[in-house]
Amino acid sequence: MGSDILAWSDFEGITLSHRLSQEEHCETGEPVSVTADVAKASFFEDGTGARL
Amino acid sequence: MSSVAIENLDIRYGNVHVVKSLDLQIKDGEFLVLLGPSGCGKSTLLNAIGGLTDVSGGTLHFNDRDVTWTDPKDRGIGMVFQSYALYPTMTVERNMSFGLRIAGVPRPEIEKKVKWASELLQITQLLDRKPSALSGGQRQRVAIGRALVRDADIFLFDEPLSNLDAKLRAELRLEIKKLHKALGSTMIYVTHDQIEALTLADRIAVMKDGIIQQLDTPLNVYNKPANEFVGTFLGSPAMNKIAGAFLPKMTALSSGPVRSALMSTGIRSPERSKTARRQRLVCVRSICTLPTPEMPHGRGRSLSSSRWEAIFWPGRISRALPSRTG
Repeated sequence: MGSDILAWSDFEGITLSHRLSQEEHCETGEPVSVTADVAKASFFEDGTGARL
Repeated sequence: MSSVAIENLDIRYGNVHVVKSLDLQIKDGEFLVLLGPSGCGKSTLLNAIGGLTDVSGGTLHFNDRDVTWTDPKDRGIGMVFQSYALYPTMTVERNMSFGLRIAGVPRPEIEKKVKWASELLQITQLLDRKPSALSGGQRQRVAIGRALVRDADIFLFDEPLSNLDAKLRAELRLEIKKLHKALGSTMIYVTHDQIEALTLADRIAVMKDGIIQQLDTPLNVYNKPANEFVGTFLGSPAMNKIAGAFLPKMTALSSGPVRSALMSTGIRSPERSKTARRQRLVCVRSICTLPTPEMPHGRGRSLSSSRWEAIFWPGRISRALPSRTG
């Protein structure tokens, strides 16, 4: 249990949400590199929303 | 203890079809949570199980007993409501024993059951007080105690913690979990609070528009959502959604670096070959930042490792605020 930081970044018009540990420094406007754990990605049919 | 079998259940209020051809099997001793947004039909379904709402079609069985049209008092259930529903003029002891007294249970047995329930819920010192002299958490304990003394086979909870502050909610959540472990009773719990659902449930039934969208363990509902609604309903912050075309390899991609890298993961769809170029929605639960902002600006690139197929790109933090996890 402990505090963390929710942050949103903007990439080519897509808003992405991040959960950062309290040790990570972030300030509005700061350039940042991000990574997605695609092992946890879900793929859905656009329109029906059904899982693929 | 009792299992619950719901088959082809329909509930209508006039022209409004609240619960639609619903099938649900709840195991003996299971803790099942009905989770969904307001108006999805979860409380209506719970009330139908408790006999407080008439069904328009279908059947309800407790074990092998058809209870579709059985009176609530004869179903062997205990209900706990969000609003406590305590009698304000009665003491805690009188509130807890009311149902037993009405049923003509002998006084020694009533005293024994009230003592047992009050000790279990740690409210023995409150038995002489009236509800107005209790905190919200204490009132809800009394309401749970009143349900406990009835020797119910099935306990129904309708958002019992919604009126409590965050600290009390966390405490009572733990108490309810312990109670389930101690009693081993079948419990059906309605909430719109995903934390409650994920921490309490053996299985979660996620509902929307009167239909169960997914019935599964908390981990599977969280990590393998059956559809986009379930994926985006659960989780805070919400899942990141990225539209793109499903393509099996990095080659011949033109949808941009984010989509390219995500699509190159080797995740396969059974019908991939048939639908390779149809529009897809990619949802990613966790997006992490990395400490090296040294990527070429304006373009992203992918990085493979033993565990990760990762994507990097330069972005900008647009908003930041402190949060708390627990």
